[in-house]
Amino acid sequence: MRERVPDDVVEDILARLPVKSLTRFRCVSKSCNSIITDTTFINKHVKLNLNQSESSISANTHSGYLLYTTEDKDGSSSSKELCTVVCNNDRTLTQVSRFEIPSFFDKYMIVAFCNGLFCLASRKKELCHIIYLWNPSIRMYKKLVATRFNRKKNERAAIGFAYDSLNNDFKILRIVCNVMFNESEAEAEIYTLSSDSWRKCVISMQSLKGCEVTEPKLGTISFVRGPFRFYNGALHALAYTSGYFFILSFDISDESFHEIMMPHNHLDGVCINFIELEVYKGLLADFVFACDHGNERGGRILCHIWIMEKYGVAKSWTRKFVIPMEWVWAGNFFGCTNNGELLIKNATGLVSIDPESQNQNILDIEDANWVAFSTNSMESLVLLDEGSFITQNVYREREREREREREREEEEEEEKKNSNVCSMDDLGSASGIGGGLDSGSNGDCHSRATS
Amino acid sequence: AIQSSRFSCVGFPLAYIFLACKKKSMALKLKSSDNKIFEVEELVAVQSETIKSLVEDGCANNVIPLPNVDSKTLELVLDWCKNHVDVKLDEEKLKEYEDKFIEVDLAVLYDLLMAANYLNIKDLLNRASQKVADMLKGKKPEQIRETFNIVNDFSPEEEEEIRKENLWAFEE
Repeated sequence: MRERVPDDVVEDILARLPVKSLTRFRCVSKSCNSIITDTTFINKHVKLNLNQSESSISANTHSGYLLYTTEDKDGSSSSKELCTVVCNNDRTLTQVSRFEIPSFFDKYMIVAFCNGLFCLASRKKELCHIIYLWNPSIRMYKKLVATRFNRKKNERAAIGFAYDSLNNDFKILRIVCNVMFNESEAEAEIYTLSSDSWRKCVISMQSLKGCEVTEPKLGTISFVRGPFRFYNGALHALAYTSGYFFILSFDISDESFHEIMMPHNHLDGVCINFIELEVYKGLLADFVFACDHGNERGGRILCHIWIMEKYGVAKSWTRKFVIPMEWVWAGNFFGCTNNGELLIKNATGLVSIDPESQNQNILDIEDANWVAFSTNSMESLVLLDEGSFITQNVYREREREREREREREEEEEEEKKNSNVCSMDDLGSASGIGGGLDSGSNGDCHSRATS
Repeated sequence: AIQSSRFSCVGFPLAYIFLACKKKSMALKLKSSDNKIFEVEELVAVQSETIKSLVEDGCANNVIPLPNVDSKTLELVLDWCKNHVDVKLDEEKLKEYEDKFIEVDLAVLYDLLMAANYLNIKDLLNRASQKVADMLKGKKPEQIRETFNIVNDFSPEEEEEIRKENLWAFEE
């Protein structure tokens, strides 16, 4: 008679298994099922997989992952899929996974993803108060309804999503601000998956000192351009307050807000097409896509890449490159690969551009709506303990029908308070440009490759 | 003259301690469950956190009984420890050794896992756990039950429900 393997050793072995095997092993026995669906185990699985993917990054076995959603082939939404391919060191691509996208996500865009979990928010309505968490690898989702702040007009919401590795928790930050100056103060709330609830959060002005403009009240933040980009333990987004742009950062663990100054005069004499915050070779970078007026052929872009050499130090902003390239629409820049190549969708298709040599490399994938780059790719069991299943078509259709009804109601409500388009939208991706999972439109959803 | 006398004064106890340490690190005696005695260098044995704490508590003067580990397994475990004490081994060689070491059948792997857990040898436990996981990865639930003698306590309906919800996981 053999001694039983202690529970913690069993858990440790199970935590090393892929999601597919674990899902299968749920029917081994009741105790097996309860271990696998337990929140503590799910968190352990995330942590172990994070460590493993980190060591695989340092081993340089590949140069990251490309994620994209396919376009409709025949107009039916059921053919939409989320694909992950690994970028091999020899520049070839190998498919890792392919998941069907539930049709009720049609009107939602991917805000961000991390550790196998995707955050989607409505892209039609600026308020983004309906948010989905989606775990494609276990075919489960969770719907979250954010607070409808009692506000009047001209409001926009910006959303950020990331994993707080200190507290082993997934968090969503939602900031609602009024694009008309001083009409009302910006409001913020945080959702944590562990508590499954939203709570209000004060945007403290303290950390926003040290800027030249007098009386910059953070309460008067009138615009935050989401989705936030996760970098260095914090969410980052371009924000606008009385008269100037800055980077609003939000520490995902201690939940403090900070201001990071933009490069001094970096927009002087530049005719902006759009601006993006991204990470370039491990450093926070500001990508300014400007119209190239000097070019006779016209319709071309000069991409200014500003890099913050020392995180948080405004003086360390350096303009590293100015790259001439063909026209890029807002929302068609998807960040950088590990080796610093820009991922762009232009007239040629999806390409990666090396800023140093300015060489353009065509990425051989099918037509994609949404593209993102990620240094790691992992699957997790998150939501298994509390999510809803995406199962048969019948169920999906029913859910979709219900969703449509809700949307109709909301749209009616929204129309009553249709807002003006604010001038500063020109700086960012123009408001209302759809993207996300819907087909045929240029996306303004920004892939946020978190690692 | 004063200096030299001071030296001799300090020198004697120092040398004594040094010798004592050296002697102590020379050998520990471990006794397996089937009463075989293994003499090993302390440096090798203290890779086991369990033995290390026994040594630190001064309980390692006589034979250390390991009632949970048989001689066959202990020999393997000590071989692992010997190969991990030698820092000169380069990474590639160590990996080669580990890969070969862990290439055993499930019964031996089970013994190694239990021993590594009991003796608290982190890297061995990790490696053995990973190996078990790799072996389980592609298996069907039925095979898992068979391998580990697990009784299926689900009713057919309950099992069917989980399967239905997760059909994708059962596809090849």
